[in-house]
Amino acid sequence: MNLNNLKPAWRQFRVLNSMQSMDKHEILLMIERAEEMSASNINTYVINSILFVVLIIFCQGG
Amino acid sequence: MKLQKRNFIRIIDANQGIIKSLCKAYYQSADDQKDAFQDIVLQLWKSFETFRGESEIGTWIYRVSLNTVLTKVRNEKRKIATESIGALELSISTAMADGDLELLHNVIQSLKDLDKAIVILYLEGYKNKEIAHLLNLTTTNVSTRLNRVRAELKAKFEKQQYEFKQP
Repeated sequence: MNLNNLKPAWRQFRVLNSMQSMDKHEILLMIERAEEMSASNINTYVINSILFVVLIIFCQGG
Repeated sequence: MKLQKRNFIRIIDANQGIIKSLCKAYYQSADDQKDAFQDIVLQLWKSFETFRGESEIGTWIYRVSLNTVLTKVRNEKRKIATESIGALELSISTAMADGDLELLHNVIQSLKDLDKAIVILYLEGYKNKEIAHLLNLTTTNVSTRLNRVRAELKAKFEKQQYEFKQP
């Protein structure tokens, strides 16, 4: 099979898919939501680390 | 809105066709396609800061998108293997009523994940050397895989096409 024969179909497929485009606002929401989640993960990590350090310092046996 | 974000959204908006085509090539259900689209956009956003315009925008989008989708598919391999054939059939949209598009769809769906990426880049007009660079393969590997794909597709589809064209 000559793959070159499928090149126009691929171009057509791509054009068809670009017609059902997503709103710019939705794309913005997508990346902002990911940034919020990432910031929240960092906060959780920092809080947990502080708690761990406090526990290690003040709750030693002996 | 920051200038960088505005630029990024403009680029994604102009190239949605590429990203959506890749999602449809690898995923059958609308939900999976949406998830893949989101993962690709986030990965593109992460790598946008390091994008210095050394390659064309389209090439950068293909490289990040294909590598993201290949990793995602690899991680979800078990899930995809259990997908029903019914879902596969449903995914053939009304646009696929066109004979060439239907053949393209069937060809793409019959390929293995990495071969699919190679064929898509080939259809997009990239040379073997460029495909190898985009997918971190050797040029020989790309040529060998393309030759094998051609032989497999010839065996699989030429008989079907011949039967289809008969009056």
